[in-house]
Amino acid sequence: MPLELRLSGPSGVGSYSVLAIRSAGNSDRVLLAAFPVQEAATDDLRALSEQLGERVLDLARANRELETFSYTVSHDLRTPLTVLENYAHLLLGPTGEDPAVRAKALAGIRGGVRRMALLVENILHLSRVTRNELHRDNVDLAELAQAAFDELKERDPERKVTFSRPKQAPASADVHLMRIALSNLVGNAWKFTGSSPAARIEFGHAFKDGHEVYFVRDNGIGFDMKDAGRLFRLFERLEAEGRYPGTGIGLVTVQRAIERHGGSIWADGKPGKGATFFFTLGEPSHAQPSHPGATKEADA
Amino acid sequence: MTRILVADDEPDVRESTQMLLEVLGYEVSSVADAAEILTEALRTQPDILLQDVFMPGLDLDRLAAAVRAEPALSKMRIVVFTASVEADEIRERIHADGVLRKPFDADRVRSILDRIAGVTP
Repeated sequence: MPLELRLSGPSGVGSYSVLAIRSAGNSDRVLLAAFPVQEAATDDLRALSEQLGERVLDLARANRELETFSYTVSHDLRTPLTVLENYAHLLLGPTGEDPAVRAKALAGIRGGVRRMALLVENILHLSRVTRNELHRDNVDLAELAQAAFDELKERDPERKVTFSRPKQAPASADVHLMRIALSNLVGNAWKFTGSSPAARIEFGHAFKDGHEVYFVRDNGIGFDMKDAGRLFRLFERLEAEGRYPGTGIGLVTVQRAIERHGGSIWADGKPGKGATFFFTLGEPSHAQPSHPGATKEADA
Repeated sequence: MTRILVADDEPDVRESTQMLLEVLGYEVSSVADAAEILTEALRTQPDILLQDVFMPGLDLDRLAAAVRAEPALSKMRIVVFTASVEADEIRERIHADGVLRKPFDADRVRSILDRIAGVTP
């Protein structure tokens, strides 16, 4: 928040509007600028300086986010690289002749490559929903959810999962962003029903409190509501890597896509009883700007 | 024979590292669950604990302190096994005996581990 400061010096005594920012990792405020305030223009200037102050804070936050981002991505890429290096070494050595070692190593290498490919794909999607311009169109979300489900089914035809959806779920939305959002939500439902004997995924919508609320529901492993705040944090994962592979990027991507539309997203769940992700899509006039440097990261 | 305990929750990392170290001539056991590290170390009495730093439920500082306080593990070296860019800071913080960065060069791992274990070639 900008501060106002009274200063006296060679240039005279008077009010100054001060723009200050606390830098990351340093509790000292750094003074960026001080504008002399003429009484008549005080309100305008104060408003302007407040806006400027908010922008600077946004920038600082974006910088911190970027730092965490490159940090975590490098970590998450090096982990599968370790697997590739280890198994490649085993294949090149005398043990490479052993069929059991060879099978294990090749499966491990394939798993590592897939994990890296998934991470790269997820990063690209996140970047896309954050940066691309928003083009609203008449979109059938039920169709997009169905397409997401069909793709999963095609990749893993052995699994028996019941999918239900209304005939239509029309919305004014960006088709590319919503395709990414729904493929993430349906994909999560698919993944976390992996051990459910009669897996069910439902896409639906209902009119509530003046808004159309869409949802993706499953009867998978669910989650504890005390962890709900971590769901939409970048690189946060509620499940250990072993059973449910993931990158911790998907739900942040969904949240950004929804927020770009001026909507919001929240979740409801219970351990062992499944999860439901609800979202709204704001009115076209309430759409977020094309380059939402100020997209709010939900801490809730 | 130098004994190594690999503590890592990532199945592929844990298994491939164990296989590789075995091929290199070490006696290797491994543990996936942070809660079992100390028990497993007491049971197998390794020369080196190759310790991942981000395991679910792991309090690295507490584990390092518990190891230091355990007379039966006074000879065990702790090696930070991580892909984190902060590997050296973590090593210093917990007073570990060394770092093995992921991914590690399989051709060089033996000299790194033997040096830490105090084995003369």
